[in-house]
Amino acid sequence: MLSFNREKCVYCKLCENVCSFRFTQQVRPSVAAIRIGREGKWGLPSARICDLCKDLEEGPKCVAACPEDALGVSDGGVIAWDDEKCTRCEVCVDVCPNKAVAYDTDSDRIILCDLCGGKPLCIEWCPEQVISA
Amino acid sequence: MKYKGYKDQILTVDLSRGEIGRRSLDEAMVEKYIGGRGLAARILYDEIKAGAEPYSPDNRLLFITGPAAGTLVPTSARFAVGAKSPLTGTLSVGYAGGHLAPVLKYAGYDGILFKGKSPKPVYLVIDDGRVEIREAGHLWGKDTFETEEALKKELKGDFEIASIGQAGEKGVSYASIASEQHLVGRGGEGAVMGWMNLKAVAVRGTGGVRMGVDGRAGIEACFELHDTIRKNPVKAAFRDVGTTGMLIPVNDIKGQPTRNFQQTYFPAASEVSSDRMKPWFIRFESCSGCPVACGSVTRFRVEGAEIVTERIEHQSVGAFATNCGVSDLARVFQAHDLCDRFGMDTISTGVSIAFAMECFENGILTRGDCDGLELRFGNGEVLKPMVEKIARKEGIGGLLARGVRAAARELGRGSERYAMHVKGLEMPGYDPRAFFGMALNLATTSRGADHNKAFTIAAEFLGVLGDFDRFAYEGKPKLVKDMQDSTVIIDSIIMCMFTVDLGISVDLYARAVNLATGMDIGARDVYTIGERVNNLERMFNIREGVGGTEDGLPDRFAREPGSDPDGHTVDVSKMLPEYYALRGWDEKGVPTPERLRELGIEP
Repeated sequence: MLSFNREKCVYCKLCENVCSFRFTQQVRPSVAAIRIGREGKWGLPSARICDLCKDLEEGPKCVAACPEDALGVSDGGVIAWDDEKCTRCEVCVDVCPNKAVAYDTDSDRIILCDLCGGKPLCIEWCPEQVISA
Repeated sequence: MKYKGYKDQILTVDLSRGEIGRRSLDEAMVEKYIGGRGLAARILYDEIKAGAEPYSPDNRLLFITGPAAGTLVPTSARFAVGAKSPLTGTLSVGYAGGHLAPVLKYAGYDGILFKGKSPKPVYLVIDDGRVEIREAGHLWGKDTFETEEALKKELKGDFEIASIGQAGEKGVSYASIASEQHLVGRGGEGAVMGWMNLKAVAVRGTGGVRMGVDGRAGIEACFELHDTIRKNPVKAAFRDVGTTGMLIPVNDIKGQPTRNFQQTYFPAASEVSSDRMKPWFIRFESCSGCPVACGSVTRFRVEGAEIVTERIEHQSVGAFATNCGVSDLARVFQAHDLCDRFGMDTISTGVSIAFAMECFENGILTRGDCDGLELRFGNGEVLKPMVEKIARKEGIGGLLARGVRAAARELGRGSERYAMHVKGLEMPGYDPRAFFGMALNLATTSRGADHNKAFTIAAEFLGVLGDFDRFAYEGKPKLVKDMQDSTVIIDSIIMCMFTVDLGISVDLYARAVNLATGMDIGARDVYTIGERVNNLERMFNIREGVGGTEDGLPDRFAREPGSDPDGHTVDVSKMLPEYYALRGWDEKGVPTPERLRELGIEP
C-alpha cells in the first residue's frame, strides 16, 4: 500500500503521468492509479490512492461489489484484476471510496494500483520523496 | 499524422461570428517547425496579413503547445501564445508553465487560434470535445487570480485557466496572460486578448497523449532526461534562490542595470537579494511534469497587509529594484504581485517607471505631470501607485502603458535617450555593456530586447556553456547565432529555458523531440530548425517594415560606461556584419532568397 506525504508534495503530477503510461501506453492522468488534487490556489495537494479500504471491516469495496468475481486481494497485498472474468461493468470504479479505480477506454482495462509488481514507478519518479510503500 | 505527441487538431475560434472550428496539422509542417514557437511562426506568418493592425480583425491570437506537453518529457508543461505585438509591431510569442498545456492536450488539442472580436466579454470553455463560448460580463474587471478562482468555482471541476487581468482589458501594450502565477509576458499578447473581449480560456481534458516510445524501455528513456536534471547541481540553486541568485554575482561584476541603465552597480543590492527573501519562504510548487519545482511560495507583509505570492525572479528585481533604485524588498514584491494580478509584464512595467523617473529627475516630467507623485529613483513608495495607474491607464499611467518607445515619442524633449528598449520592447536586467554576446542577442532578436532568445550569460559568465570573454567582440556573432538557433527547439518542444543550465544539451533536446514524437532528429537538425524559425520570424518582421535598421541598442550603451571602472561600452555595429554574414543575410539584415530556399521556407 502506498502512503503519501502531502506536506512535501509540489503538485508536479509526475506520479500520475508515469503510472498512466505504464498501464495504458499513453500519458493519461485521468485513469492513473494515483491521482493528485489540490484545493484552491497555494492549497496543499492530496492523493487518491488505493488503501485496500483498510478502515472497512468487510475489506475492499471493489472486491465485494464485483459481480463477476474478477477482483481479489492478492498475496502481495494489492487488488488483482482478472481480465478474462471482467465484463467492464465499472461497478468497481463507482464504488471506490478513494476514486482510485479507473477504466481506460483506449486500452480497455481496469486500472488499480498493483505497486508495479514490487517497485512502484511513482516512488522512483517522484522528485520529492513524497510517496512510500 | 504518423507522429506521436500531437493531437493533430487546432481549434479555430472566430469571436466576431461566435464560430468554432477545427483544423489539423500536417506532417511536413511539424517536421519543419516541431511545435510551440516554430508552429507559431509558420501559422501566424500565414494567417496575419502584412500591415495588420494589432487591434483589428486582421490580427490573430494563437495558443499553441509543443509535442512534449502532456508526455513524460521533463519540464514540458509549457504553452506559448503568439500574436502581432501591439508593443513592438513585430511577431511576438511568449511562454508560460503551470498546468494548462498538458490538459489542453488531454482535451484533444494542440492549440487554439482566435480571430475577431466578440461583441461582448466572453470566455472559452473546453471540456474534452465540448467547446463553448460563454458570457464573461461577470468576470470583466476582475484580476487574474480572482478570475481563475471564480471560474474554478463556477465550472466545478479540475479546469485549468488562462486569463487576462485589468491590464489586458484596458489595452496596456505589455499586458500578459496568466495561468496560475505563470504569465505569458513581454509582447502584449494579453492586450490582444483584451481587445478581442476574451477574458479567459478554461480547459478540462481527460484523454491521453501517446509518445514516440512505449513500454518499460520508453519509461526508462524518459527517466534518463529526468535523472540528468535531478542530478545536476544547479537544480538546488533554482530551488534555494531561483534566478534571484544572479543578482549579487552580476552586480559585483558591474552588470546589473541600475537607475534606468545609467549605472551597472546597485549599492543596496544585498537589501533585495535572495538571502532577504528566504525568511518569507513557505513551500515549493512545481509545474506539471517537472522534477525541479523552482516555484517558491512566499508570505510577506507590506503596508500592514499580508501577501502570499510566488518568489520573484531576477528580472523583476532588475526592473523594480535596481532600475528604479528601490531597496525596499517588500515594495518590490508588492509591485511584482500586482503585475501578476493585473496581468502585466514586470520588465516593461518596471523599466517604464524607471524611464519616467529619469524624465522626472531631468525636468521633462513634473510632479504635476505625475499626478503629484515624487517620481525619484529610490522612492519605493511610488511603485504601487504607478503600477496601478499603468494597469488602469490613469494619468501618467496612460502614457507609460504604451511602453517607453511610444511614451518618449509623445513626450519628446530629449526623453528618447532615456527610453531603454529594442524594437519597442523594454530591456531586461542584464546590462549589455557587461556581456557583449547578450548585447548582440538583444539587438537582433525578432521580438526586441528578449534575453531568453539566447541566454549568453550561461556562456559569458556562468561557464555552463563554454568560457567566453564577456568583453570580447570576437566569437560573439557565432555564439549568438548558434544559441538563438538552438533556443528555438526549447521553445518549440516546448521545454523550460532553465534546462539549458540543468545539463540538457542540444543532443538531449533532439532526443526529447524524438521521445515525444517518434521522429529521428539530431543536433544538426536542431540547428537547421532553429535557423529556419529565426529566418521566418525575421521575414514576418521585414514584411512589417521592421528590418536590420532596428537591430541596435539605445545609444546609452555605446556612449556611457555605467559603473565599470574600466569604462566598458558596447558597440553592436561591430558585430552585426559578421552576424548577418553567418546568417546568410545581406548587409541590411534581410535573408537572401538562396538562404531561404536552403532552409525550405517559402514566405
